[in-house]
Amino acid sequence: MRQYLELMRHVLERGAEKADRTGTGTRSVFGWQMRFDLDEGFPLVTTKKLHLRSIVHELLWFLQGSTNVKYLREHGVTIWDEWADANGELGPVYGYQWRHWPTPDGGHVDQISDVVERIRRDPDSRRLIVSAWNVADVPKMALAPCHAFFQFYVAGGRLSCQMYQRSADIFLGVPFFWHIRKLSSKAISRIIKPKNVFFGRQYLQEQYA
Amino acid sequence: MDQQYLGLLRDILAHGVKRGDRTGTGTLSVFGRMYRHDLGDGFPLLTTKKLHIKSILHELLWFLQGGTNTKYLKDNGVSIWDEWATETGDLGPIYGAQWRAWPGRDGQPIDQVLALVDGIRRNPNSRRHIINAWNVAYLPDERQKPQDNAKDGRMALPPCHVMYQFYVADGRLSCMLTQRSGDVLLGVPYNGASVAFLTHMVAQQCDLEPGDIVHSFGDLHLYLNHVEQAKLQLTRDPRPLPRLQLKRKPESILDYRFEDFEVIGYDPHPHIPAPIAV
Repeated sequence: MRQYLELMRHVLERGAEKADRTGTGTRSVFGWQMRFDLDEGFPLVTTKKLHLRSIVHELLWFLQGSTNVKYLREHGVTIWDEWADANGELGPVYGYQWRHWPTPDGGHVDQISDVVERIRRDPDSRRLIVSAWNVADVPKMALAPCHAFFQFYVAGGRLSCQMYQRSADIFLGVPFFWHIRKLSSKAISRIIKPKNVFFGRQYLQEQYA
Repeated sequence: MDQQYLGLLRDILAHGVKRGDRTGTGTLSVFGRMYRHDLGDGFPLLTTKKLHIKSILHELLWFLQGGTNTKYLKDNGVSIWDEWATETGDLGPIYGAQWRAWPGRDGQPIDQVLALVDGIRRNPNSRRHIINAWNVAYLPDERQKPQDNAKDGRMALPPCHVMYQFYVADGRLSCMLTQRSGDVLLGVPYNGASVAFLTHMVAQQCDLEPGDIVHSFGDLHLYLNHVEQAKLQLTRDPRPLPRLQLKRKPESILDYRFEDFEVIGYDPHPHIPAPIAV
């Protein structure tokens, strides 16, 4: 996890001060990439304790296609609560887009089932992508997707995954997000060795700087 | 720019995995790469081989117009999309359609390009300055030919340039392009120039200085019949980069014309011919 500490140092030393949506202020850099070889261990940050339970439940909840916090609450996970409406609804966020991206004829695309099937059928494909950035639905989501899309890649019997994140809270969010990706890969194949985590933007909340 | 590009070539030659591909040619491939170029250091046209910007600039202007028919390109002597198009030049709802008219839920198209410029002006600190071409509902059916997909209202080809994100800090506009797949010898140098043109245009419209371009890749590959060309290019020494002059400031991001762009001081090594994998 040395890469994580290096990134944090980079944001602290080189980040530009920027205002943000929350009014807190950030230090920010743009365009950063991290890579982990899963052969070297599961990438949980060891320099502070992370609660794996929330991450696992959130991922399972995405994979179910759910957009209501009910499942999360039943499992003691509160990370989405502040954005949910009175009925626990979040609008067409990740789970909906992953499993039910709407088509013009009224149907839906199950991107998760599709990508698993295509990895099996055509591992050399260069379009093994799952996206949550549905331009038409972003305004109706309680929160625009942060991990906008991810891409899988197969070579030498190994499965890699690259995730694109448009915005990242490096202290609280980043360690969390890359586990989502790793776990999601584990869930869809037994031979998975995803390798990349990838960030459109990184910022460090200034209150931690 | 050249140094970083040559670094990618070296990386692929050293670490690339041999893989089959759609075209049957075979590639050396790596996954997850990125380079960065500060536009303040010059316009990122490779100097280690000569590039022709006409096609890439017309293609970009065509995207910005929302074009999805090759007629505009043909009228301007650009043939790069011809082989995928139907006999009437149609390509289905590819880039131009998604950029300018992503179908909205209420039937109203969403103009991501105008929204982008407006968003950067109104709220430069936003983390949502994004143009996305990956509309899952209109991706091609891979079992069909590109032309048949276009005839059925789907994209002839899935987008290679999946997503652009813009970012403002210290009065500079940066842009990151994420490409799911990149042909390092024939495609990537042009893709990099294209995102640089776009960044200059959006910066001018928003009264910002051009900042960095960040160009990132999923599957980055060298076709096996391009290995000699790559090795030749690696023997060449980079020269000073040209610079881009925008000759006027058009009313809007949609009003740029080919004649508005002048690349000054481009003195590259000779062109390197290479076969295209179809």
